Amino acid sequence: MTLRALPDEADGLRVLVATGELDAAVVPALLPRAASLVAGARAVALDLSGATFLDSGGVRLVDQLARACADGGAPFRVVAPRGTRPRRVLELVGMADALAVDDLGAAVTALRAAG
Amino acid sequence: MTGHPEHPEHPEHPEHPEHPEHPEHPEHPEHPEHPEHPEHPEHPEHPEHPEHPEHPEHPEHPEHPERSAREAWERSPSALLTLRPDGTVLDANRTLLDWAGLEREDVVGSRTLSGLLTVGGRIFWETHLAPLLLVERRLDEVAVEVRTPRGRLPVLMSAVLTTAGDGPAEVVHVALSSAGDRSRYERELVAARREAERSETRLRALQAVTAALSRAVGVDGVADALLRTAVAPLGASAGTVWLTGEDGGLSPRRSTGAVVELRPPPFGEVVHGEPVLVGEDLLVPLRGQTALHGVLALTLDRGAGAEPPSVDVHTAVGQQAGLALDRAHRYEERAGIAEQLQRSLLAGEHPHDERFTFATVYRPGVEALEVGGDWFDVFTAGEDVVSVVVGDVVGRGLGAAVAMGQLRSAVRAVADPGTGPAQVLSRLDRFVDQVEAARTATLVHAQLDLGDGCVRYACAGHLPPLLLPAQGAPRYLWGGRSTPLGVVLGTRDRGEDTVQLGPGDRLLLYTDGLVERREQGLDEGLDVLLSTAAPLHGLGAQEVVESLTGALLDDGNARDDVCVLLLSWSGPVLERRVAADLTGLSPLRRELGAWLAERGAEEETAEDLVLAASEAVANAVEHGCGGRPEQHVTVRAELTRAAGPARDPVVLITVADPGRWRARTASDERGRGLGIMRAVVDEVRVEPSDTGTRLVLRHALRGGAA
Repeated sequence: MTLRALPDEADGLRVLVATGELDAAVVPALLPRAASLVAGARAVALDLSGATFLDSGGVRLVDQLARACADGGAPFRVVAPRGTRPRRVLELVGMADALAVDDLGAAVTALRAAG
Repeated sequence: MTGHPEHPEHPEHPEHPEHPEHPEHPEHPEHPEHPEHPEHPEHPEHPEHPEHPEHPEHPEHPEHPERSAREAWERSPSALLTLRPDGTVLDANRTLLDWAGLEREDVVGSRTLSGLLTVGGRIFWETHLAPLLLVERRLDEVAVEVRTPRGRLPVLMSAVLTTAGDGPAEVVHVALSSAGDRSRYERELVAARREAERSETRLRALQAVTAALSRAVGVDGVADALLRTAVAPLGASAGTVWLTGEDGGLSPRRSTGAVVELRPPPFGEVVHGEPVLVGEDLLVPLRGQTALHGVLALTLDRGAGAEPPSVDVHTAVGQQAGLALDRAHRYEERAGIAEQLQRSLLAGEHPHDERFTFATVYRPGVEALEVGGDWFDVFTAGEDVVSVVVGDVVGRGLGAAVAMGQLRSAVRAVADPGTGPAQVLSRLDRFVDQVEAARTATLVHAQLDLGDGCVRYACAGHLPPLLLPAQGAPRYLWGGRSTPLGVVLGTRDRGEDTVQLGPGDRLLLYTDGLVERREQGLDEGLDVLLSTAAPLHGLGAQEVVESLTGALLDDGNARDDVCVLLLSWSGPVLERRVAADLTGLSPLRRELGAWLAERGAEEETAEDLVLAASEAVANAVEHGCGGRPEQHVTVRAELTRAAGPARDPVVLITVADPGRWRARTASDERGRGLGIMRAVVDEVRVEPSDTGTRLVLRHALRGGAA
């Protein structure tokens, strides 16, 4: 998997793009970096539309980023289109209603509305 | 008157002593001092004269050395001869000439020793004594009879073969002593008769060698025949057949008896036709028409009373075996071509699929000069069906092989997806109407549904398939039987039957060469196959077919060619053992996804099951193995049937680890993983045990969770 941050938008919106498999094998190494990944951002969108697999380990990363954003007062959304595996898992663990949106445009709209 | 010359006292009178003619006068020849008087020392007849025979320096004087040796030789109480190695007499003493009643010129240079013997003695000399002398270089007191004008004279013969003088020529010194000691002579005569009997025994042994060699097939067959008939029966305690390899060197091929060392004997000594005695070994060259094929090395029995080797018999053995090896090499060349043709007909693309495995063995017949008509084939008909065929075209030779090739292709051509075995056979009946050589071929055809293990099969006059269950005893499948191809009685409809395989169950198809023997009935052969196969279920497929053919065919009685095919259904089981580190998660998910897809799981169902299994394995690795990478997690996925009339397929995934379960639910994350599993599959069951924890996921293959 890869996880990278795109350059911040002018209004401080930061987009993190994750691709590949976010599972228990790779995610633990990323957890300590969650706070720094969102530091300084006014709003954060985690784009999982390129992720092919998400398990409870991946959910921990989503959870960790959500907590870091909450600590910094930045709204947080997850781009997980309906019908994809990440969306299915987020639904299973009860996080979809609060966090999941279908595409990046919806995420930006939601984040600006929340900001 | 005394003065008158005629007066006797006159000195000139002849009777006067001083007259020269008076005998007492010193110049008178009869006077002893006259040189011509015999008593005078210078007279040749005086014993002190050197030319007088009684003078010690005269050659004929008994004390003269040359005369005494020659005389001793001539007058020896034994008859003495010197021979060339071919038996021609070079010299003979007076004793011999006296016995034989011949003159020296009748014998020397013209006769052979055997010509001096009686007929029986001559044969004994030619067949036994002369060869023995060449090998042993001596004979000791052998009883023979010499022809004499008065009849047979029994003698004891001793002889030595030595180098004559300085030259390379060899001569034989022979002494014949008159057998005055009758008892000893008779003892020797008995021994001679025994020897003659032995010669006859050897002759019979040689005939046995010839017969065995003429029946031997192949190089190993010749070697075996030689060791069976030419070692112990010819007085050797052990023997090794050394054969010439491609590089021209000799290497041991077969042995019999107590062969202590397999070090090559000094073969430099065995170049040409004759056997050579080297130390304890008699080396018999096996020479064909153009090449030395090898050597029969015999360890001679040197015990008391052991028979001496018979060079002529061994020479004959070597020649016979050499020619037999000529034939064997030609035979193997031709058999190799026939076998190559057969194998090329059997070669071809065979499908690879994780859901089944198969193994085959093809063995050409022992007398493989002609190609057989046995064949096997494995091919897929549609995505989820694998077809197997084993068949046997009647007859041998090129015609049978070509018919086999055509029929094999025909089976593939007519076995479309959806065409069952009975229908395939019906179509083949029509095919063999056109191809006469394929008529009355027998075959068994089985179609395995890779999804559920159901086998449809039909036998056209062929031996029944043998079912080898993963658990339990093997049994023959006697259903679906009908006549050989093209032999249709009444209706043209062929029958078929079905059998359900479980995971790991196997089906054995074979041709009659595996079970038919001349000396045993077919029922007995089938029983032997059943009992041989029973203990093999723990082995891999290839090991099973190799073990079976090895056990059933290596008794040397198999003549026909043999095809064996073992089809094994991997079943609805995927079993993986993964090391306790999480890097194995991703490949395991892919394998499980593919396995589920093959079993017809819908995509959503498969992905949910993969997710649940991945959670279970991650849990097992992190908590069940305590982070110790030397531990392992076992994952097993299988398909079963749900209870109830519909018997819907159900997936069971079992994840086993060596740890304990309690305390795993303590953290939120673990609770979340377990929650995901429970959310996506019909049932999650935790089974703790003394040896670890098993987590079982159960889910309907189709339809998914409600």
